[in-house]
Amino acid sequence: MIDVFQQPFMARALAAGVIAGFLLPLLGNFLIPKKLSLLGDASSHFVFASLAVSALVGLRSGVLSYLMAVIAVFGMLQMVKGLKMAGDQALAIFLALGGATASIAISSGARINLNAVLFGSVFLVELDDLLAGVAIASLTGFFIIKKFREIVIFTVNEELARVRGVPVKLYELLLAAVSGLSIVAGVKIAGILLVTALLVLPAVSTSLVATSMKKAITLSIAIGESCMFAGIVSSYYTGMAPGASTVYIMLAIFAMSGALMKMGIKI
Amino acid sequence: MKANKPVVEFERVTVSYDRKTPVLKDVSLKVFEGEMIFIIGPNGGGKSTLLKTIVGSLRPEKGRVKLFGVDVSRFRDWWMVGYLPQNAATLFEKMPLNVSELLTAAAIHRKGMEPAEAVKLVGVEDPTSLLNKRVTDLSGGMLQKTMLALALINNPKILLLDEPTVYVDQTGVGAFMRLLTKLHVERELTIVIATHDVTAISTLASRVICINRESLYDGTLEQLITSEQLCNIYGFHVYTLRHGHAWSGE
Repeated sequence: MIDVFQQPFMARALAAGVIAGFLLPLLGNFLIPKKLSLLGDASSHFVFASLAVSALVGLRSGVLSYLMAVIAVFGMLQMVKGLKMAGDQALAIFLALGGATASIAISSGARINLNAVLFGSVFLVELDDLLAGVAIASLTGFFIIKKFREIVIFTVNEELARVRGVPVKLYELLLAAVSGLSIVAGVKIAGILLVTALLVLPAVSTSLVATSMKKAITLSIAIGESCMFAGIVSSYYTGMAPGASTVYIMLAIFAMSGALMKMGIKI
Repeated sequence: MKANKPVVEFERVTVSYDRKTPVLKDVSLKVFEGEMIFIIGPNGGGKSTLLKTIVGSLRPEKGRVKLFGVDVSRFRDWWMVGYLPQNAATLFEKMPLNVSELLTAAAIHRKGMEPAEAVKLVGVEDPTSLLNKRVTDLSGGMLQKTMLALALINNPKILLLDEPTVYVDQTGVGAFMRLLTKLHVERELTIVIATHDVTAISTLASRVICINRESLYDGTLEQLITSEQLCNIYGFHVYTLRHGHAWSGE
């Protein structure tokens, strides 16, 4: 077991797992009640496009990925709020746009490891990703602790938040930015197709049994961290993509939460 | 009963969602300090739009809206306004939020109440038990009391309630109206209630305002039930019983 931690790439992968396991379940607790959990898919497909385009033109993908993810989330929010479109309609547009752009770039000669990008890989994480991830996680965590009450009322209802003096437009922008950036922080380790599971599954599992928002957030982060750790370590021994093994463990926890709820057990 | 300073002022306000069809057209009205006002009208008549415009969620295309003498776009003392939007129960469907967290999140003013004090004020006998419950686990009656406590938590000067009786049966409506009347009298609270349910109107109402895109009636309940206005608004005759409550029939 010790040799897992002695490999530099595994140390980076585990650190990325700690960041993603904190950030994405944390945000899921606020995005799911707002019916915005699909934002993860929209931004991850834009990240896919940015990775492919960067590979095609020979750029480092870092900054472009963060930018594209934020644009995707912001664009989707505008469609849902401004054009009154349903979330799944806006998502379909962004999935198609991201997928089509990536496809054109790959067809034009972009060389990317599709398996690693789609399902995650322990080899993709670089030091820059970790530094950016730590910065995003620290700022997000600090902001949520500092403004917890305002964020809760904003999540419940924007009109109620406005009447409580919460700057709703600013919070919308911050939500878009943080969601997009967090998706990028998790995408290399969890994969384009599976990163949304990190956003949704821990928060949904705890919402079934938790008796308070604070408990739900704490439990979902604990689930996120432990599942990421188990998924990344198991991928080292089995060769499976870390995203896939993490998702299977999270699905097992979701099933257990469902069973506890059916038995009337609350935490 | 005080009835002097205007708390809400609408000056020829027109509001639309699509900039073509106005939901409110050229509406002028005033709500004075200490009044208890019922806004009635058919579904889609603009009652909720009127309340959303008062709290600044919707901007008028034409006209001016003032809250406590200040243009609503510049109004900052939001603790003075207790607002309950329509269908508030549906807001919590997927949130594991408990009552204590909800009320704490809504409390923004240092002169506001503690959550336990707010739920006691609305007639909850065991505040501790309620505060630890998830909002999604509450019965209709308890949810209604919780939502009223939410609107009252900052010790507001005015309560704006949009269809607050939808969670409860007719017995519950009566109890809720008695509770509101008590708050109105004891705390001299200005209350504006938007409802499609004419049977919910309290006989203690200062005024009744009828809205169906335009302001069709603004006066006392007594004058309203003896006029043809209810028929004009709802499209059928509304017969009234002697104790002041009303029932409707084709």
